[in-house]
Amino acid sequence: MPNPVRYRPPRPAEAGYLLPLASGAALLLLLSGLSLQAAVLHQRELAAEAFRELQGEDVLASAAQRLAQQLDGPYRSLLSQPLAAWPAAERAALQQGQEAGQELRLLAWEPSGSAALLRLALLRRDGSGLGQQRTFVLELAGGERLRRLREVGP
Amino acid sequence: MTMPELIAAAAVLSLAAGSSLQLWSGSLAASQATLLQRRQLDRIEAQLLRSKARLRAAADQQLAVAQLPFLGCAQAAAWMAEQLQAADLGAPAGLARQVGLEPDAMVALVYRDQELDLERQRRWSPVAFGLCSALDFAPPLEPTQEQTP
Repeated sequence: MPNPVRYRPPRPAEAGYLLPLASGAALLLLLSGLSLQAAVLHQRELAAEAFRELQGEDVLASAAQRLAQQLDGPYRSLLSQPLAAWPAAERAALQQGQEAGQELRLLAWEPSGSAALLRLALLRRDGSGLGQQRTFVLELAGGERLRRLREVGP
Repeated sequence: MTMPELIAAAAVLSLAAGSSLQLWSGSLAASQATLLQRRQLDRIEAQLLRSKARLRAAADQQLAVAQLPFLGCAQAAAWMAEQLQAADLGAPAGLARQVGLEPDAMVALVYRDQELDLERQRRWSPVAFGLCSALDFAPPLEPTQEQTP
């Protein structure tokens, strides 16, 4: 007489251990992928921020060159006066500016004999105030002609 | 261990492995792109610094000969643009370099990498190099642009 195939219920020790094990391994795999992705996104964000900062430096440096040109030309009378002493109309014309589509503000102009200190700041695009800043030194030949413009720091 | 359990476990694991693989490969590609971008930005920065140093050295040579070596700022700006054009700085691959002369006697230098979507541009005035005085501002120049691939 043939032996009938009978269903043998799993023993408690071996029942259902495979699915939790696979789920745990799957979770680990997904978590490792997600954490790597988060790290890379953070890295990209930092790189984008560094790029924006470099572009900001370009804008500030170019604006300093343009301002030097204006102070040597139509606004030459202001060359030897500090910003606070500038007449209101001239100050209004030069204190706010635009370069490469970005708004700027002239924060300081401090002439002292053979050099003048120039400080510029970018205005944040969201209107939340001043952003990146740079200081420049303009060397003056004989106190009245521009000779050289140097960037001295943030 | 039962057959349905085995099938379900295999399905869960293979789905997770596939998704994880996609996340890893996407992340590695993005990381590689960021690295390439950073290297190209370093190269552009070096190019800009060299261009500025070249302009400064050439301007100092001119100033050693005469106090105001040019007839006006327009002429001085055109000379600066020529200096930048002529400077062989060995632009890195994939980087377009463009020298432009603006109507207000400013010289523009633009570096652009279209593939990596990077652009940096600087403007220089001959006044800031002591090459002219903006008071003797000559008539505006026709804007020009010359490009070096």
